[in-house]
Amino acid sequence: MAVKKDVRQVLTANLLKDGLVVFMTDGAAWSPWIEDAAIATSKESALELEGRGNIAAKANVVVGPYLIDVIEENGRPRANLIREHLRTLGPTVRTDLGKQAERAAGGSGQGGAFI
Amino acid sequence: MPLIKNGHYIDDAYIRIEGEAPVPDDGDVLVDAVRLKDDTAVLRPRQGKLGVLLMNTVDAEELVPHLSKLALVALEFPQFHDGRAFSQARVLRHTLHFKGEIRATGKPMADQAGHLVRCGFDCFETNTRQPLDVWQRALDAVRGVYQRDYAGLGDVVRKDL
Amino acid sequence: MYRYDEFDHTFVRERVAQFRDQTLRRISGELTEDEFRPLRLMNGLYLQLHAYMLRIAIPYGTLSSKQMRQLAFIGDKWDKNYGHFTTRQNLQFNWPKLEDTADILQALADVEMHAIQTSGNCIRNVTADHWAGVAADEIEDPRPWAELLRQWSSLHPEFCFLPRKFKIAVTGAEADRAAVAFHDIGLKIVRNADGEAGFQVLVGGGMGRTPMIAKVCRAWLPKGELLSYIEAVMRVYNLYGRRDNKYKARIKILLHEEGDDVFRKMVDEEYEKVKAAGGVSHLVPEKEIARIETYFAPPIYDALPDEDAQLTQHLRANSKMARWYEVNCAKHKQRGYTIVNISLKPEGGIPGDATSDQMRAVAGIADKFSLSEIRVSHAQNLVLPYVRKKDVVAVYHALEKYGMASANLGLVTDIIACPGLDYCALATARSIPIAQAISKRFEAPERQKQIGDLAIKISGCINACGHHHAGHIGILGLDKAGKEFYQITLGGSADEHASIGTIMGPGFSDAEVPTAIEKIVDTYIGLRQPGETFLGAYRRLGAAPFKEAIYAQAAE
Repeated sequence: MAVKKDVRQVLTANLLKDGLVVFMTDGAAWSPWIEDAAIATSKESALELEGRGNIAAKANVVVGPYLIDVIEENGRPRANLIREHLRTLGPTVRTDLGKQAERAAGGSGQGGAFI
Repeated sequence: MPLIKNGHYIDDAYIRIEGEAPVPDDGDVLVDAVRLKDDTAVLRPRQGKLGVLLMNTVDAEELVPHLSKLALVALEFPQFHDGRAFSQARVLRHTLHFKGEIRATGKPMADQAGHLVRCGFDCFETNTRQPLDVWQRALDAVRGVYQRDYAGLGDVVRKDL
Repeated sequence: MYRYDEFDHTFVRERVAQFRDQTLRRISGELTEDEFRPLRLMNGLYLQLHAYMLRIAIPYGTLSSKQMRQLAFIGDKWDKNYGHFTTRQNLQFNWPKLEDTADILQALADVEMHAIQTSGNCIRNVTADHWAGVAADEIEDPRPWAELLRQWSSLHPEFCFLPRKFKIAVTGAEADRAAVAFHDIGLKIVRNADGEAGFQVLVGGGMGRTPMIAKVCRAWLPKGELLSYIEAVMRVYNLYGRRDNKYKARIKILLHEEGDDVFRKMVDEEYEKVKAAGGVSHLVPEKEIARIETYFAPPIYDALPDEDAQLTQHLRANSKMARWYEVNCAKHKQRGYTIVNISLKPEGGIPGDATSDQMRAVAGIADKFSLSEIRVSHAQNLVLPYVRKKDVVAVYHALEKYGMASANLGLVTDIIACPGLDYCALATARSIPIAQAISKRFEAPERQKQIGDLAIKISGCINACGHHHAGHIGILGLDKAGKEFYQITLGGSADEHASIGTIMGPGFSDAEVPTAIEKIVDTYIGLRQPGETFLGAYRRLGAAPFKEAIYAQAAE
């Protein structure tokens, strides 16, 4: 495994009410798009993200927040593990559903629906 | 932790005797089940009721020699989803015909109230977030029972079953 | 089929109201997620990769057309216009909202359905032979007993917080189509020396990371003693099953660690206590089982000739339909009738998925041609159990119109696949795309016919929801350093001669799997004796020629 030079992590969770996948933004809000996610570049900032996530979980906004590793691709974060990458897309066998479909319809990135 | 019995909060009349500590001459006491085996002082005639705390890894049948002297058997839920005590209570009530109090201690949940009552529990330890009314609501939620000889008080049993 | 009476209706409605209350308490924050999780799971509500998932019980796989229409309605109103039929004869919706779940459950209750105990460490939906009541080789219809078990296990006071989940399957036939040997308890109706029908009770089968074939715990049990005997098994398991390690918590591990004889003795001793405990008799009241049995009485069949001349003529004229009839229709116990199996495995499609439109279409066909009854099989297909041979042509054309006339039942493209990493939070790799790629590779009908009976089963993780251990060819998707790879097993079988597949060796990438499967199949065709099935050939030849075929290239 490659030596981890620096931390690149974002915080993800599922919304309590509808279960949809969200990412924590710089403004401590939740966005459905990983592109909007705040990227922690140090252990300290990752812990801080995690802390904010736990507060949101305690406030019953989200369920099970956790940090995931990302790489930057064309200046955008992309989940490292396939499991997490699929969570930013939707089922690969139904590209008409999930985030990938909304993305195709122009729904992603800055200006997407914030919660 | 608050105790619920017969639809009310009750004070715990039993004094918990930890480990090997001596049993006083009067007052209701709750001792570990192992002391029934080798400590005759526990079973001596005294003023006050005797209760035992039975771990959920021990067979309820082990209490048989002393059952007539017991007023209370406390069973434990280390986690609410560890359901061994349901079977212990069932064995105590149904197989061994124990008539005293069966208390659910540890972390039973109000949402298990129906299960607890039907297995024979009649006293429950609870936490502050699950007050009496939550227990009562859980108990009233589903009154019908498909298992003919598990019915608690006031249940409707599947006819003929 | 069984109809709810007032008691059943009240029970399910109260359960819905209770869940609505629990959901509101969760949303308000009164319940934490840790507290709520087991409560929602006991109503079949999971939190998956992309959203919540609701698993709906289809008890012993029997469904009315009215119920099927309601499932379609739920799919349209609260989900994304489709559902997924599972290997436990259940239906899963992939996108419900927590807020809507109680309304969905109410809509289910309206048609005598529920999601009770489709998850959690409790007794799960009881499964059965999907041809129960109509199969030509059946001793007795097992469904009255399956229904009795459904009722008895519903919110069982003592057995809802077991060490782990608990699965029961029932069959009344010689041939095992319900995989009873892979269940925690498998029940098989058999006759004793006096010719009386009773239950052979198998215990301790299962898949997962430690696959095991169930052991016979009772060779013959009088039917009326069923519930008391199972109560004894369950109590032994609840008290002594391991709770320190969830991978060792199934009853199969208890049985394995204690040994068959000790375990049997534990159960027998407990059973004696149950019988001696007094109170109510340990026998199922005859009146009650008789009440349930009336719902499963055979329908009044038309008196028909065994062969329908017109059908024979049509089949001669339409070779595609003839092929479908030969492959997908099975022998019925009644003259002039046939069992129509609807494949939910179109070539290249998603195994087990059906759109709301397809569900409604099946409901309509069932109303017209199958006494409004439908079955779901553990192989993720549907069944029309009461089709007159003279209606077969009309049924075929109606199915064809909705893309449900694939002639592949039991063939290489009739692949079982769990949802895998496309949906499931536990999965380590995708299953469906692998199924699709293999299905595409073998789509030519002539080739499928040439290969014959072949069960490919794919799981996306070690939990084995895709039954890979029991596949003639099993495929298990795993994760290696963030990448999907697939392990192949051969020689598994879920029938009355159950066996667990053997791992061939190192895994393959997703792109390599179809070719590896093709090599295995070609090896079989090259070595088979006349009339020999894939499984027969594998059992005769062993793994060596197949291993050589799939790993030869790598060794070169």
